[in-house]
This record gives sequence, C-alpha cells and structure tokens, in this order.
Amino acid sequence: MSAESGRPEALVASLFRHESGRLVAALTRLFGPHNLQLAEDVVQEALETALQAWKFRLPNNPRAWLGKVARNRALDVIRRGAVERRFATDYHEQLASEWSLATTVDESLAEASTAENQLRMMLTVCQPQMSEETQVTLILKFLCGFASSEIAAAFLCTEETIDKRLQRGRSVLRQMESLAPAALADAEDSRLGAVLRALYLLFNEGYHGSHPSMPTRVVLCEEAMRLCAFLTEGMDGGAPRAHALMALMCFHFSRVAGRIDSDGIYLPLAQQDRAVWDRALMERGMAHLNHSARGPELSALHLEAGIACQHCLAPSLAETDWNAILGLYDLLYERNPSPVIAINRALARAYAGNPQGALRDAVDLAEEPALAHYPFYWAARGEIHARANQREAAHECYQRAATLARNPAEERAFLRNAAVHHIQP
Amino acid sequence: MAKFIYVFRGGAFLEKGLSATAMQDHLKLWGAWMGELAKQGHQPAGEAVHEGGRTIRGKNKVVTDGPYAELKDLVTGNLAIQAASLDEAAKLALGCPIYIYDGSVEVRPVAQMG
Repeated sequence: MSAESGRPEALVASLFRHESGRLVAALTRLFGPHNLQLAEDVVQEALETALQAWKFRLPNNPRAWLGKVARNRALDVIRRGAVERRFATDYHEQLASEWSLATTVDESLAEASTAENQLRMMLTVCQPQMSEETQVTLILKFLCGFASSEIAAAFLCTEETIDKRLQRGRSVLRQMESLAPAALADAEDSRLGAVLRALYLLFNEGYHGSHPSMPTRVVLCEEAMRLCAFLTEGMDGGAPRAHALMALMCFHFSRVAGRIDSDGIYLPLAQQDRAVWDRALMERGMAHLNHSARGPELSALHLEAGIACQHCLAPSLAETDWNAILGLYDLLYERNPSPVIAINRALARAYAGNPQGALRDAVDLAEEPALAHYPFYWAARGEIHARANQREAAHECYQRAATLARNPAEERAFLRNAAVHHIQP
Repeated sequence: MAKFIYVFRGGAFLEKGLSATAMQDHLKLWGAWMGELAKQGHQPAGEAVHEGGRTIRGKNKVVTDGPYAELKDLVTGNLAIQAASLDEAAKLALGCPIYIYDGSVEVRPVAQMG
C-alpha cells in the first residue's frame, strides 16, 4: 500500500509465475541443470518469503525484492555446497572463489541477463531425445512457472501424466552440467527449430485447443508469445524463423476476440467482425514479418505467417487475396505434403474461384487416415461443397464434422453451418 | 474510534509448496482486504514477521532459538486498525483471507492511555 494514496498497489499479472521462470533460469545457469531441483527450491523459498512479507503492502519494486531474496539464498547455498557440490561446469570456478562469487551471482540475476537466461533454458529443455509433449511440459513448468496440476488442466490430462513427463525430462536434465549455449551455429540450427516447434505447439494448444469448456486459452497463447520474444530479442537480431513464428502468432492472436460469439460458438471467418481485430498486434506482426524476410531463408513458418498476414490485411472475406494465399499453400505443400495442408489448400482454391477443382482435391483426401476423424477436414469439405452449390452434401459434411468436434464451441459452430445448408424436403 | 490489534497466527506462509499462481491469487485477496480497510478509514498499519527468532523466558532469562508454538499457532504478523468497537473490529476481521489456509486472527483492544 502506498503511503500517499492509502490504496494497495496491484500486483502485476502473473508476477509470481514469470519471476519463478526468470529466477529458475538464472539460478540453473549457475547451479547447472543437474542441480535444477536446488534452483527450484531456492526460488520457491523466495516466493514463499514474499507471500509472507507482502501481505500488508507491496515493496516498491517487487521484482527487485524477489531477486535480492533469491540472490542471498543462492549465496548461502553456494557457500555451503562449495566443497561437496559441483555447480555448472562453466561457472564452477567463479562460484568457488569468494573473490568472484557475488558478482557472478549478481550478473546472472541481473535484468540484462534475463533474455539470454530464458533462451538458454528453452534450448536446454528442448532436448531431441525428449518428445515434443515433454518439451512443452518442461517449458510450462520451468519457464512459465505453472504447477503440474495447472499444466494438466491446460492439456486436459491427468496430473500423473504431467508428473511422468516431468520425471522423464528431469532425468535427462540431470545428465547436463551446464545450460545450452545461447550462440546458435546458424539460423538453421536444429536446436532453435525444436524450441520454435515447442512454442508453436504451445500457442496452438491455446488457440485451437482441444479443451471441452474453454475453446481458447489465452494464457497459453500469451506465454508462447512472451517466450518467443526472448528469441527475437535475445539472439543477435533474432533468427528469421523466430520472427516468422512471432509474426504468425501476432496475426492469429490479433483475431482472437472475433473468433467466438457471445454464445461461445466459433464464428466462421466470413461472419467475424473485423472491427474487433487488434490492429496494434497486427502492426507488430507486420514488423516481425519484415524482420523474418532478412536472409535467404523461407521456412514453413514464413509461409504460414504470410497466409495469416493476408487474412489480416483483407477488409472482408470476399476481398481477400485468395490467389496469394493459394500460392503460399502451394509452396507450403511442396515443403511438407501433409493432408492437413492439402485440405487447407483445397479450401483456398475454392475461395479463389475454383470450387470444382477444390472439390476434386477434397474428395481425393477422404482416403487419408489422418483426416478421417479430423473435424476440420469435414468442415472444410462442407464449405467447398457449398461453394460448388452442392448444399445437401455440404450439410452432410458439416453434420459429420459436428460428430467429431472436440468441444461444444466447435460442435455448435459445425451444426449451425449444417443447418444453413440443410434443404427442407 | 478506538485502536485494535489483530494478531495473525498460521496461514498460507506455513503451507509449503504452493504454486506461483496460488500464491499470487492469495496475495491478491490480502491486497483487496487491506484496500477495503484503508478505504473505509480504518487506517491499517501492520508488519509481517518471518519464521524463526528467539524466545527469552523466566527469571534466568533463558534464551531459546525460535518461538515454541505449534506451527499453526505461530504468530505470522500483526496489524493495528481503528474501529468503533470490538464488535466492529471482529466483524472486519472476518474479511481476512488467512482462514483459507487455516490461520487465525486474534482481535484485541489496545489499552487507552487516557
């Protein structure tokens, strides 16, 4: 509570979670991933101290306050463990000498080291021998400060499943005695690819998640964007692919407010109120798209960002540059001939004025096992039938999509479309 | 208006292993309660205390490490407020979030010095 106003100052949203991520990374850099549990314990203690001390009023600078508590605790831990413990191999000597100990700890905990620490922590927890689910789970745990129960709720699985993933992840990390270096060999570095894929998964789980009661979990999208910013800011100018992912997420997220109507039903693009799209976030996306264009690289992320950009630029569905989108889907399909990309390309073809060609594509894809139970295949095919004036077929496809829907918002959206195309006998 | 002291015992601080979100959510409740007390003119002023400490007891002034209370009876802070009566002070204490984590509030009138 500030003395002047007599009103309590508000806590910055998610301060505890974000500080937990910041401090765990800073301390793991010093202690080494093999001592991750020790870093977590120090941070947990600092947060518990804050919980007690901040009951009646907040300190002037809560982040600095937490940092200082963690620092002093870390110094204790290092001094006490200096003999029997091995800390991070790249810091062991600095921490062993009283002469350099405090400055080394201060440097790692400094605000200026935050981006690099978090980048290195992300690279560390995205080890190739772990599944992508485990990587995402570790990111949510160690970089976002979520508890197992909270991760389980986000991914709609049991806490036990999450704990197992954490166990597997921890056993890999226990073998590592220093954080992964931040310096990437080049923009094609596969380690960066793993982190980008994990963040992309995290974003998608929030944006088109499978949660039954919450079709959009904004917090997961926000976390993916917050962490991606460490990549675009923390590396030398940021790798083009990281900027492409950031652009893609900005474009998608700028439209999040228009996607669901007041009844919690997904609105098709045609019916979305473009006035509620977040223009500032689109601008940010454009800036990242420009950055992503530096260098010769054209990744799948660049193409997806380009497609999302076209949707943002269009004043309406009809005025969308569908030929540009179709061209981008063609390139995307060339790099990655997946059935999901193929059905999206077919839909773009229908909008670009060739519903018959699109229909042939869509019908051919019906054989794909990956699409048989994919609700969006049937919804896209329904839309293509509708564009080709085959209303009864459109109705049937939307019905089928509805039976496969993963949450009520999806189901009701598909049923609404099915009803639109139903021809009364 | 008269002065009252709230003595807090136990509460979230003694609950180990809370998630970052749970801690922040709990602090928000404290902030809301404190804000309400301040807004209504009760002039809350208090201090939280940390774990540990010393106790000195008896004619021989025996110094022991730590308060010897049961964990749930451990004093975790005190707060002075202004209220019209003991009844009002006790009623205001009902809004404290300490009970969520099994803590207690003792409400005591401060002796008036004339």
